[in-house]
Amino acid sequence: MENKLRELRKNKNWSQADLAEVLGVSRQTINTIENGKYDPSLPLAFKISKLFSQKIEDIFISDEK
Amino acid sequence: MSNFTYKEIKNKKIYLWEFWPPMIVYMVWVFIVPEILDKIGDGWWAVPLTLSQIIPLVFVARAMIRFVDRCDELMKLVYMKSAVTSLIIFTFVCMGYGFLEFRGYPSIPLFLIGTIVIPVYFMSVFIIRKKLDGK
Repeated sequence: MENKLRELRKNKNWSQADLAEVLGVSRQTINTIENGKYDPSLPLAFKISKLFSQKIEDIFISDEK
Repeated sequence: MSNFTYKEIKNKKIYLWEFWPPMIVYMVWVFIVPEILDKIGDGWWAVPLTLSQIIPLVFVARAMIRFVDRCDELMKLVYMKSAVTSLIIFTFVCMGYGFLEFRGYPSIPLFLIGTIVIPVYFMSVFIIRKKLDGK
């Protein structure tokens, strides 16, 4: 699944570690989500969506058409 | 800049506090029990005394499980995948060697199981983490 997390994080001038700290996850989790290697759980996706004040579907783009 | 978040550092500290005391007890107890058994010989209590060496390891296992419980979702997934991978590898190794035993190879003591499982598990954790890190 593609996502805009890296873009949103960079807009706020946050490092992966900063974002990880805010979300209460590891830096590796942020890295793997940004690289599309891992899709976050629904609760984490909601946290991300709330943090960036965007809808989940605007941040995470499904591969399915 | 630290690669670890505050939550991860705290989790590791709690883990070390929960892991080392029972591990130290185990490392001491494992030497004391054979001495006691040598001195006072066999009796009905020899079996529970021998098995008592496992009790500190139960607390070590508890520390490990609690550590994984406190990890974030990705690390939980990594540890779970590693556990499944190492279980499969371990099963194949045991079965393979079991077949060799039928052909006359010497039996391996069950005591040595940990020395096979633990390195395989940590190798699995390392490989799965590296795989996730790769772009």
